[in-house]
Amino acid sequence: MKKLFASLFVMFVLAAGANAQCRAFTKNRVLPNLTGFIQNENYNAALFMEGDEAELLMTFYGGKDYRLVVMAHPVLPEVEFEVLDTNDELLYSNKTAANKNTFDFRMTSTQQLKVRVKVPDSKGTMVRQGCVTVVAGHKQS
Amino acid sequence: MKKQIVGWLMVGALGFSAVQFTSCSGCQQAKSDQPVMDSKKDSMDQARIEQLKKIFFNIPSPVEMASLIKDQGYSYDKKMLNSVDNVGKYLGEVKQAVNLGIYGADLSYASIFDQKQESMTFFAAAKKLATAMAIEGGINDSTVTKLAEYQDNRDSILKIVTGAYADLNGYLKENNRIEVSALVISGGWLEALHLCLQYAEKPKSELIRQRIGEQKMVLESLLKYYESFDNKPSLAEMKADLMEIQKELNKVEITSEKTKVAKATDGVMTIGNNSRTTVKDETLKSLSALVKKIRSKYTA
Repeated sequence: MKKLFASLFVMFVLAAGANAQCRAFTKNRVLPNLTGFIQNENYNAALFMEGDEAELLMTFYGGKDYRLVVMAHPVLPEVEFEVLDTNDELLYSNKTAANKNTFDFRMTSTQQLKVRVKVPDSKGTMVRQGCVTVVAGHKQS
Repeated sequence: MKKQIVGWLMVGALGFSAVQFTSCSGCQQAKSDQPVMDSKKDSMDQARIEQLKKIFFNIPSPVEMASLIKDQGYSYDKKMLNSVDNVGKYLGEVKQAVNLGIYGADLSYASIFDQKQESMTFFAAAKKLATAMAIEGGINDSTVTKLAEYQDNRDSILKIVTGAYADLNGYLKENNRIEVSALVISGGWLEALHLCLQYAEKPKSELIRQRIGEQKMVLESLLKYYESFDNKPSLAEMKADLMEIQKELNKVEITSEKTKVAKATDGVMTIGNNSRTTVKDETLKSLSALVKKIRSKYTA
């Protein structure tokens, strides 16, 4: 009987742990890339499948330095992200960047920008699923 | 009987685990036989798109507003903040969530001005609310310990505070309490706006007035986010209040040009559209009165 209850307990703990997986991924793998910047309080992390795409509209203040970090769990293919203005003019793409996960920039005036995130489809026989996180931080003066 | 109960518990636990593990971070699912025509449409069903819209949302942090106030040379004013003595009065999830956001903004403001004791007091108030709301993420005893440990380092304090609120929002989103997260964010935004409006009445506040006007863009994002919840009753009151504020902010004029990308002398990429914001005195006055009225309703 004791063994049975112990097994049940372990199962519940594991299930609850799975629920918090993206938070743990964000804390352990993503946030260390934001060193030197103050993290924004918004939380943007979710489970993505290959081929999934999401868009985030963000306001950035003029005269400030920002860092965007976009990361996917290693089980997924390398995440692609683009920064566009509200007229869909492409301003940045990580496809051609040396650092695929972070983008540092300085706003000369306040404006809204779109961050478009996509997990490429590997065209394999299995669809993989994993956490994708987008965090923004500003440099404190 | 005992065996039967244990058996049902077992079935329940397995079922629960199965549901949880279908969304595990490293697992794989067999692809359907359907050919991929449009990855964007085919791989995401409507429900998942809607869910992602509710998770992927961002507005600037109240820290950035507080930081601007400090950078302009103004001093800390405790009277502008929501008294921690009020914390016990907040009953019901809506008031608790909004005030959790309000205390978060006050905490950021106190931290920016290096008010160590005040920061700890606001954090304690936020923790009390988070506990009352059964929120386990972010604002907890280990964060209190960290705050005490780093109390002489302002940047570390800011990092801990913003990290705690981000984790709290993450906890709410991962536990299907996304509306509560929206209310916390709204409370923080409302308080940061309230603080800026207090300083806008002071001399040499041009940049603060400009930042207030720019909230027209931020509020547009926030209200767009509210739309993704359809007409959730718990968000109705705040949505109506935000729409009232939007009516005032719509009087703000913002002009802009084509976005330009360049490289600064230090190698950092610069982005800008030369936006200019004009806020008339009468708009500022009516906005200030409105925000005061709405804030009082939640903090009373």
